[in-house]
Amino acid sequence: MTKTLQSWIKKNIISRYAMTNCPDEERCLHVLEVILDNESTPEEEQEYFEHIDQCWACYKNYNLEKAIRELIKRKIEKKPVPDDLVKSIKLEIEKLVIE
Amino acid sequence: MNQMSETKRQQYSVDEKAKVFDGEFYPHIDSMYNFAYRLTFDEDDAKDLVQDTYLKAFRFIESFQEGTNAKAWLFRILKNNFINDFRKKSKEPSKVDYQEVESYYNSDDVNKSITTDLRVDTLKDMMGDEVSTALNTLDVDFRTVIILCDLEGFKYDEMARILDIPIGTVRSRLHRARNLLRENLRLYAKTMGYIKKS
Ligand SMILES: [Zn+2]
Repeated sequence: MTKTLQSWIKKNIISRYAMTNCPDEERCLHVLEVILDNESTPEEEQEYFEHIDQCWACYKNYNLEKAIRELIKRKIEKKPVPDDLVKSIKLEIEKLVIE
Repeated sequence: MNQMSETKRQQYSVDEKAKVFDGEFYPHIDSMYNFAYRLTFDEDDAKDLVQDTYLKAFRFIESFQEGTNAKAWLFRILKNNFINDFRKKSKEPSKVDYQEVESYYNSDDVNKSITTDLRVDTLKDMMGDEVSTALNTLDVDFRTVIILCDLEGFKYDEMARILDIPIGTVRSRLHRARNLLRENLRLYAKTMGYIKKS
């Protein structure tokens, strides 16, 4: 990254954020997790999104955590179920019924 | 008598059993097999585990209420099967005892927030295998909560029932699991040169 670009980013992006270090990053991470798991209350969300508008550290965490979730969902391959599995379970169950 | 499951036992005829299996149980076989595979890392073992689970489901079908969460009910049986039969049988005995695991959960290393140099664009370059490895190298209890939550989309209360632990423990275990996963991804990115050594 060039020096000019770096200072441009600093001036135009980072400076918009009042805080570059979060006073309570650990708590924010917990709330973020609950939000990304769709288990948060509307109040938690409102508070959190107001906070990341001003907190650079948490804004970065938000993007990273969201990306990790998407990565896990998208990149981990599903293994196809073996063709004969349901059939063999049904056979075993029939044996149980006959007994 | 105070047990819900006792008072609500449902009777099924043979035909009804078949109907429940076709309508509510077999549709989850894909998720079940993948869960079993990610617990055992072996195709045959995964097949056995899934088959045992369905046979148990058949035997204990009276404790299943039609129309309730079949997937969570089946996952709970599978998880118990894995712990009771599988872990015992497996060649390598489980090295982790419960105390050890819980103290690990509560240790500061796992718990501290990580100021990470992992970046969103770094993640975009990662391959499926690398992501799988990052997940697979987590201890089974941590791996399990990530699978249940992120891959299978279970809610905290469903996970609590599947794992027989309080919701608070689900949340703290998930939090630690995610910290460890993030750290694995970061280390991986570093080894692969996605992150420049500084
Ligand atoms: Zn913050």
